Amino acid sequence: MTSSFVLQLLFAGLTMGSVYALVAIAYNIIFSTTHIINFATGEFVMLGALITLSFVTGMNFPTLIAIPIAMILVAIVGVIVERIAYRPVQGVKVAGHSIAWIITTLAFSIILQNVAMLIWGKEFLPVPPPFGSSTISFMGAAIDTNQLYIFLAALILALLIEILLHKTYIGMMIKATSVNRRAAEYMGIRTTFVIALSFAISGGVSAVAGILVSPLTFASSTMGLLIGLKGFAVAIMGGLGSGRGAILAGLILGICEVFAGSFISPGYRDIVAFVLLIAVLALKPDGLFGEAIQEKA
Amino acid sequence: MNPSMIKKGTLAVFMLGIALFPLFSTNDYYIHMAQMIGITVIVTQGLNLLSGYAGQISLGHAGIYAIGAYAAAIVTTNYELPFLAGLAASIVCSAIVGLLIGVPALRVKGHYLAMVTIGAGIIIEKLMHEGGEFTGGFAGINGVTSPEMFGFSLTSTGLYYMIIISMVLITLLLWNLTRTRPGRAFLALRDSETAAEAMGISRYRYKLIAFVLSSVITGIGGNMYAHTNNYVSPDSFTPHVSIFLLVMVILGGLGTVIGPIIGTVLLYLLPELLKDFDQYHLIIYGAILLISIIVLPGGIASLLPKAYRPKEHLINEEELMNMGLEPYEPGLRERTENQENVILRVCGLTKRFSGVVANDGVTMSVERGTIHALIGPNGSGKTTCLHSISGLYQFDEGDVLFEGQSIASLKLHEKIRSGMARTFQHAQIFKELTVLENVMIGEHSLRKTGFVSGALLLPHVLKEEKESQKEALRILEWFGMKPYAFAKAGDLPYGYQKILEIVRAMAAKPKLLILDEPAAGLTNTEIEQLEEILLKLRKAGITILLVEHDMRLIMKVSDAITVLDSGRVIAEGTPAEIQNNPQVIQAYLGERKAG
Repeated sequence: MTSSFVLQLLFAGLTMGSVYALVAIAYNIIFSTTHIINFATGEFVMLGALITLSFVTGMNFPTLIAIPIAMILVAIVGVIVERIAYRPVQGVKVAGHSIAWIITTLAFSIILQNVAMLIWGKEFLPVPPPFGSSTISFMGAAIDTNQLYIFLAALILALLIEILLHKTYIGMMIKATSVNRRAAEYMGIRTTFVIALSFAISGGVSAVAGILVSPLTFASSTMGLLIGLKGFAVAIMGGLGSGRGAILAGLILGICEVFAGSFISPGYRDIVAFVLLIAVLALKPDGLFGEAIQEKA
Repeated sequence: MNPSMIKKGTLAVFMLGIALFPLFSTNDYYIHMAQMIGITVIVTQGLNLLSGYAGQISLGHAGIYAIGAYAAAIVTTNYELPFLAGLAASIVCSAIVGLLIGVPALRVKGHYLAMVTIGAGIIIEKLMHEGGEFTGGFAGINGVTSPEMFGFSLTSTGLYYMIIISMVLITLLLWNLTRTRPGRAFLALRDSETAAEAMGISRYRYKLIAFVLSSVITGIGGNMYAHTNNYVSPDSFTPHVSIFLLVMVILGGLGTVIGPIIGTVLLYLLPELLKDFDQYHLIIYGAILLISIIVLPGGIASLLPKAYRPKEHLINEEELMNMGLEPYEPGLRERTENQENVILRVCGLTKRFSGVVANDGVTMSVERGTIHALIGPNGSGKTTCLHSISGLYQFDEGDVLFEGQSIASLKLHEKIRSGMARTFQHAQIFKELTVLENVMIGEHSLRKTGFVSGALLLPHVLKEEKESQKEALRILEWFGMKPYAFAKAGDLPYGYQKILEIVRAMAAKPKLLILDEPAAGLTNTEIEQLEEILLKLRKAGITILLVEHDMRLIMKVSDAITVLDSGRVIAEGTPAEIQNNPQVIQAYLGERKAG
């Protein structure tokens, strides 16, 4: 065990972790306006990866043009999900629970995955690194610049979203809708628009997460499930709705996964997220950054 | 033909159909499919108990299904032990795993609970992958034999009957369970955890039992899966399977006894019908799910008119309404030795919320047989004080004595057994249940039916249920609410919901009744009725501790008043004394400014 190997692992973990953070942020944006979990988020990630791949390798578009196209297309899918899977079942109760959205968003994820399977098949497709790849040496560790770019891109986007949510008028509308939808409406905010917008933004962010992760993991129509669930786990660990929490929990998960994969067994890599999750929830039920609120009866 | 005959006829045809099915179908494919449907119904019934009745949505049930299947495969194939040993292993292992998932799940709700169950499902699936020779890794375990019992080997048709009989038995036991006391406790927790606890139902105990029971049933399904398919592999228990299981229950009708059966049969037959569409079939499948939940959120069971559905309770409305009822007298729980004049003594009670002192050394005593009002301006700490007394909050300093004994360490659900019952500021009723069932849950702490006797619907259980129904109806009559006995509680006007809370609390025969703003949201006529009720209860010997803002009501009914301001007691006395107390006037109206 050399320190350079540890450093290399650490960096690989940070890279994966930054992508998980993005996926978690995609969950958070929709959660903050609607208080639902969009179970089709993983499929948004998958669509982002595959659409970009098709434009770049199939139609020879430059990567920097393909990315915004993919973001817009997935954002549109996001709006469609809002229209069909969220809006009609708002507040619909099933045996006393407001859980109709669980089924509708899951149903959408089944549809999206199988449509993708018709278009792209089931194979794992290799994806060229979007910004090229070479190796640089950092404190004795060989670091792939591709990883560095992915890490930076994910982190920058995550910060931009944080700024969007906390410093802009759009962010204020989202926050108002989140805290009290009716009051927001009385203040003249068109909350249905804000909610549709949140699905669109979430779609765009998920698409980028897919684009960034696919050079590392390959792209396939079935990739959405696991990355989607891990993103959800990160969102929960960070405390639903907390951007800082999502980034930190994402990075922690990325690092833990890589180390578990290399020191225990690669097969245990995917378990780490969920063991970590249950441990966090058992100790702190509202997530690392969630505020504990004593319930008022 | 009346609905009950049609119901019985349909049931008879259905039972005959599944009994004779193997005689008509010699095709192994269809027999196998029928076996799988039977197994899946067992699993979805288990899931329905947890998610539909106890209100704990599980998105990881495939994991528990896998535990049952692998336990059977490992014990009977790797260790070559008999079938029954495998069955025991399936039951024990799934119970343990259910408990392991249940413990962290107790701490979380909603989305967090969904994630815990998803996580548990994935962890189990991956452990099957990584189990090496023990679980057979990716390939799983092959060559699981058909069940052998007492010298018989059950193959295709025999196995079919074993599965179908188990399915019918499990469905029947669960149906019984959900219609008796323990099942009502689950439903109460599902609708309002706080109110259920206030009625003496331990949230921890019942939720853990729900997890374990649901897991055991699912594990039995898993056991049969292994013996039916003769192999197990991780691919059969992916997160997708968990989702499909939940979808079956919701599509059929969550929280109904026939829902899981309808949903499972449909979702098994649907792919068969869509076979011609091959590659499109999952897309169509998804679309059907999407549309059906939008159009029919209550599931297919909700399409049936109520009279044609299996009854979800043991109540015979007509018989009950026409029954002669002896008049009810509000009674107390068995008398204790302690006949001290002061029933409740609060000594120096202090409660802080991260720095904010909500109650600061509150001291007061409530005398037996009186109506004692606790008043004060908004934010003066009245409700906090009630929550601390009733066990909803843990207070930081001081003590609460009930009939001379400290009850500070008792939890909310334990308080009712010592003889105090309470209502809430915002009526916390069990909205999905009938008014009568709400009151029957109030009797929870006085009744005895347990899980085993309830599931078997033993004669004494039936007797106790009838008594409980009668008692509930008598109490409702006394409060003038008998006409609403069979209405859904959530459909009552708000004023009646608040009265219902008092009725429910009275069903527990408390010595001390704690009411948190009973008049809030009531019309003037309703307040007059409330006043009458309070006076009648006092006459019957019930002590009442009342938090209220309606001064007219308080001045009319109270024997003693304690005034709180900023968490401190600022005055105590009779209504007349309080009305003229300058400090109280200042607290309510603010300082008189000169000029």
